[in-house]
Amino acid sequence: MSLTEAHDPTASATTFSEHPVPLTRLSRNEVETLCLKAARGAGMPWGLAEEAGFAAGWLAARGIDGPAALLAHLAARPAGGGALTISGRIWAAQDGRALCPITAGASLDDHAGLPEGVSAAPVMVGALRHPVLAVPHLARIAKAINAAIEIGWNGEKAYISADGEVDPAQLTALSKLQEAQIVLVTCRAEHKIAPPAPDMCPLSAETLAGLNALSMRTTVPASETSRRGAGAMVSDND
Amino acid sequence: MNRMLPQPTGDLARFRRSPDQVMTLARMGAAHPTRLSFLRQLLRRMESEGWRFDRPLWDINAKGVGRAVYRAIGPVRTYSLVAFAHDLPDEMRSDRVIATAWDATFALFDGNPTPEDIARLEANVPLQEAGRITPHELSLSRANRSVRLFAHVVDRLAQGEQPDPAEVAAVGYLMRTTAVYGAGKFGAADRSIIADRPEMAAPFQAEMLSVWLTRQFTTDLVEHLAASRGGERAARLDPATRRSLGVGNSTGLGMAPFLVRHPVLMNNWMRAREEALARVRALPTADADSLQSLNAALAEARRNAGLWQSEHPIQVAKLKDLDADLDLIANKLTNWPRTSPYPWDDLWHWGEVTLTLEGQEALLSLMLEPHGKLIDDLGPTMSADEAIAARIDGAMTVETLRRLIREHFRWALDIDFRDSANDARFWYVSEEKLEPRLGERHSEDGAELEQPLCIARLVQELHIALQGEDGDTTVAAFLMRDPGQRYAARRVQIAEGHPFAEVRDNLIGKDMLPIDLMRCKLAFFGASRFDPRSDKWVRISMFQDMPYPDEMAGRNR
Repeated sequence: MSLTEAHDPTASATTFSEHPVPLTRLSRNEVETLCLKAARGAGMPWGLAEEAGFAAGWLAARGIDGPAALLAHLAARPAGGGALTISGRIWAAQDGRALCPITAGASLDDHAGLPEGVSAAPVMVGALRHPVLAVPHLARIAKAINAAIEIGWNGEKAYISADGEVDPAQLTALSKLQEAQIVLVTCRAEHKIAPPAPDMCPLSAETLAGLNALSMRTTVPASETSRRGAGAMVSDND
Repeated sequence: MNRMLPQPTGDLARFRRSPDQVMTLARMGAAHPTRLSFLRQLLRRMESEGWRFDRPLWDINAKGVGRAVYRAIGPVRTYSLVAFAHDLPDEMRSDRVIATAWDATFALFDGNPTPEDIARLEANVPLQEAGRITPHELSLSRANRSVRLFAHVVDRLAQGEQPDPAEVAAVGYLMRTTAVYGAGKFGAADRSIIADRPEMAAPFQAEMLSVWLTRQFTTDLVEHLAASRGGERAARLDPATRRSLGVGNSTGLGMAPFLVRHPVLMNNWMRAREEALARVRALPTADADSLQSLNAALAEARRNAGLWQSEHPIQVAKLKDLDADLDLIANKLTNWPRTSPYPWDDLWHWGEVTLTLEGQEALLSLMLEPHGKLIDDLGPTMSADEAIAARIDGAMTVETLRRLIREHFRWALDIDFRDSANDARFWYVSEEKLEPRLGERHSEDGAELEQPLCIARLVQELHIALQGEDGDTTVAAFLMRDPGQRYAARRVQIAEGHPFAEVRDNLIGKDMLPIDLMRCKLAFFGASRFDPRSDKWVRISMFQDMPYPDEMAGRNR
């Protein structure tokens, strides 16, 4: 589980646009907050936007460009889409389109200990957009049920250990998928995977600009009234 | 000393205050710093562990421009405040978060900075929000001079004289910080990187250390400027005057949402303080030592109240209440304790029926003061490992979720949001400055972009959404159908086991005062002399009357 005790006495936001450098290394707290706002700006409800922030931060802390994947997903996310339906062991979108990986990941996590969930029997999810974005929630499930989970797609496999870590090469392979149907199976905890060294995946200028633009949709243009009310009303030169 | 420490007796539950009593805006807005406040925790640790302090770099010219490094050297690790002093024209001085230049800027470096580190910081720290720092830094901050007092002190010292005590008392600090950013802000180290260190276990220890070393910098700077100007003739600050100077802090609405955004953290702050009060109330005796300590704390509180100034009508009224209440407490202590199974509990009950909220919360602080051995172990429990999206218990039934709402959010269900006075405001983030603001819902645009800070209304909406649901339905199934309720459902689940997680009040009401939230948070920091400049903007002082680094030596108990 990620730790973000955001010690921000003013809570004013970072402005990233002033850094036209090729790559910027954000702290995990910054990635999570920026992605939360971007997801909200793209129309996700607040509670799911928090899950999006969690997912992007978890991936970035493992060297995977989760923020770029989230941006790609949000940019093409159909309005009002993402509603899930479960029939038997198959999880799919109600409208037949590919699923939102945040909605699916969070819902799989919610159902982890229930008969519909991964711990009861194998689950087929499909099709899923940017499947790597669902992995942080799957890792959280593995930890919660204390069992390893195997992700299968197109004849390939990735292994999530019972303490919620994924082999870096397999995680990278997952990150290359635009869309896939995946099968989730709990399996015997075979080996441990070391948690990542504390280093964050740097973000490209395009990713930062894109997420920033979406996050700005959560803000309100200034009015004279709001400007007047914000400050001390008296001079600070005293 | 082998004297047995008196221990609380009986079940502590009967001595605990309820969240309904503690978590109102009015009472939070009367909070006083206590010995569990974060800056007190920092000073206690550095004193007991015998930390050393030095200033390996002082490269400041006669105009007060340059750089300096202060080190705090602990038993295991060293932390360094890297300070940059600037020449700021008056017209650029603003305490708002939107300012772009300051009198001084700072970063707290994790370890001993190399010349390369200092050069890197010099290229970024003076830019503040427009710069980037790295996981080697634990905080980023800036400060502005109190123009009047700063100039006065330099003038007097340069002439070989001490500053006018009235001028010093009227302001109380040479500089005030206008933002202190920690945990992951602008590229700084995430909280998780330092959370396992004992000296950083309590909340905001890096930020407190940064501000405390900044205080030393401000007094060094005035003495340096006075010496540059006055030469041989210049005086140094006399120790008593210097001791009375703190670091100011100026803060706006941006701080107010913090407590709402960090429910588990707020719970842990409140729970520790309330547990401390309950332990003291449950004591069977009040011995001579604790009585002496209580009286000393009261004398200090009365002295502090005498120096505490504000022109804001709300605070003026509160200060009047406080003065009267401290007199009542002093009078009460002349015939306390009487023979009783729980003398401290008697004192507390007397206070609850006799004093205003201001006096009651001051009494709380006074009652904790003599009891370090009994309560100081609660300090490190005030942190929280908060995930951005705490895991939802999807197996919980809708019936249980409803029960949690009834148990923990009765106060929220009781607010009538159809009354336009009760939903008069909305919290939003301004596009222009990216700072939190409060709008008027019924006369301004933008309410559709409201931030989710009025938990009462969100939980009411969840409660309504749950009405048509079968009680046996799982929360997982409910949220799959209604993902819009995920945020509120998470808050309700957090409330179980975290009774102090919510401000039990309407945060969008017409008469809501954001400064109540700010005062509560600042009191936990250890701030004193709370001085509102409007209902959304305050100044405070930190570390006033507390020791400086050079005064810590030999204080090791």
